[in-house]
Amino acid sequence: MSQRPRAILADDERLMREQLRARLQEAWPELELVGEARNGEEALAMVSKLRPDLAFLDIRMPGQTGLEVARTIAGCCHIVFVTAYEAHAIEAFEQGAIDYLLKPVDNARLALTITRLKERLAAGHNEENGERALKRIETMLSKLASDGPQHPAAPYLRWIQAGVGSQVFLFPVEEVFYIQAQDKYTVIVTAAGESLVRKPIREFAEALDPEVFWQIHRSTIVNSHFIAAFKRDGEHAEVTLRGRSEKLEVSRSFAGRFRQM
Amino acid sequence: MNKILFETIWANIVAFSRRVAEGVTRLTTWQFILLSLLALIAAAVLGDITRPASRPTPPISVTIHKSAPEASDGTAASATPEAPRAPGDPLENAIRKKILKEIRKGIDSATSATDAANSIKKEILKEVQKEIDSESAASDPDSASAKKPKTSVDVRIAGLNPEDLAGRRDRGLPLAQIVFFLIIVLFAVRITTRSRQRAEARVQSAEASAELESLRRQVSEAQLQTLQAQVEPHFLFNTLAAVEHLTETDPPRATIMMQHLIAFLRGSLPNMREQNTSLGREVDLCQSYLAIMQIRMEDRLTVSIDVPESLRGLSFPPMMLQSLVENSIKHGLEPKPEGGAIALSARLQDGRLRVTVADTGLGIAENAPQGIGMSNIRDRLKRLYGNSAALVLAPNAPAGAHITIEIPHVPAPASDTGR
Repeated sequence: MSQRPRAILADDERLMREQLRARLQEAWPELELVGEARNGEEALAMVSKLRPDLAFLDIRMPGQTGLEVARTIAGCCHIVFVTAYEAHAIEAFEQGAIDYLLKPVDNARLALTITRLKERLAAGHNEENGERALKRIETMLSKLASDGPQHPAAPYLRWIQAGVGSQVFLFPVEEVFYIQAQDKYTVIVTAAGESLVRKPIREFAEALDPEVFWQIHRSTIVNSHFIAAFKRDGEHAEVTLRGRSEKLEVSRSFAGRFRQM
Repeated sequence: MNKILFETIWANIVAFSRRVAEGVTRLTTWQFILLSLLALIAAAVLGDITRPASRPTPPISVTIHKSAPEASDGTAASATPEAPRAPGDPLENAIRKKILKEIRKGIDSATSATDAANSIKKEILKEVQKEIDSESAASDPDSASAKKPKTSVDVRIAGLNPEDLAGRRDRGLPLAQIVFFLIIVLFAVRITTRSRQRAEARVQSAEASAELESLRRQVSEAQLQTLQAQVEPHFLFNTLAAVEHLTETDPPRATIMMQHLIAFLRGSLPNMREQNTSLGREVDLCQSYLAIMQIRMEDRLTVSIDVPESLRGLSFPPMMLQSLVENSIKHGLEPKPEGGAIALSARLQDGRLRVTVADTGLGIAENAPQGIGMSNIRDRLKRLYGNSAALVLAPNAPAGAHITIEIPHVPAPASDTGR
């Protein structure tokens, strides 16, 4: 490689970017720093636009994390992670990282990283992989532009937002005793009282973890952790809850769940 | 002196009986029954062995008085004591033998000592009379029995007092009775001691379980507190890296940051001694943390703190507010590219202290798991205040989370105020 190697770095904190830039310039004067990104999305855009040879990525960044960025840009450039805490080392190498630096960056350790990178750069890199990676980056960027930042999604509903009087509260589902359909609304019963949600119970039935929240009636879903007893009297069946006085009717089509108990 | 001696003896007796009671109580019921039976058997055997030996022939001396027969003319002849016969006299010997036989028979069959003495005497007199009659008949064969003067005999038997006889009769026997009596007493002692011990044990176990419960509560609170107080390594190393950079580029700011870090670490280290600190102290801790984050996040973070001076002295559990603030930064503001604002406020309302952390961050997604920090605060509030405290979450307008800790209004101990 005759040209000077080109690199970008990404970190949400300016002080960290400055520090890394200073260290790199000192230890590797030939390296050309072509861009600095403040978050994952900016890093993706820079890789796509500037086509650097190297990317130094912080792992914890707003929007896309360093790991997510790496997954997308793998093959397009060499990746070094820079992080404050080695909680993600294995994952980092799984994403094809060449090296893993800990903040604050130690000069001797940085020198070792630079040696590794120079070896890698001398070996050259696969143009075909690079083209494929660039396509991946563009797809990801357009997706991010339309969806906004994403949360790593838990499979089920964990919080219920519900109104009490004029206020709106968030209840962790663990604290919900049961929910019951009432006309167009759904009543959420917690230790704090009853609150109304303008959402059909069917939506809760789909969103809540069915292992924990059992539908016992067309209009009732109960938190199984609070079930104290199941009683059957001929055609009629009901459950009682711990610490509650109500008896909740169990309809025939849902009583099957209790037969195994 | 005497009194002291008496007291010493009494104390020894008491100590001995206590030891006996303890020993008896320690036995199981079967062991006790077995030992009792063994003791009774031993007593009976011992009684049997000692009985013959302990009943030597009573030292009996016999004096026979012959009185002249009652005259036919009706005048009463005075009894003329005859000189005691020489030992070895056949009559005397025969009589003695009879007497001993009767005594033995009488002792065995009679129900009481007096009865025995009387019946023995009666028998002896009968026998002696018989003996004398036969002797006089032998010595004077030709005389007709009709005109023969009848000799009346008075036998004095020394050593055959009822009391004497009673002592002799009971000597072997009472051992079994004493043992039986002792067993009954010991059994009673055993029952009462046992029931007392059981009651004491019950009281003790009740006290112990209450103590254990409170200890458990303290320990788990300490554990939860420690968990809450753990300094996040990510925060610590990022901050140290920033300080390192500032020492090269902007030393005065590096010093300020270092001072905030020191204050934060000092306040965050688990403090087991106090379950409650003051609200003021907790707010100061948050302020140190937020000052550090502001240096790092720069214009991405805006901080406002509104805690009236009058509320700073109120009691507040440690590391809860800090945990909420950290959550706000870590999950709400740091991950938001443009950042946002965090507002810390405290109000006294309806006798309750409400401390709120509101941010304009990403907010709580419906499917975001309830973090350990949050459920930890819930657990701790329940432990510390029962149902009179609450952690209330609400969405913030236009974005972010609005989280309030509500606790009963408790003034802090004097030492904690104003710090």
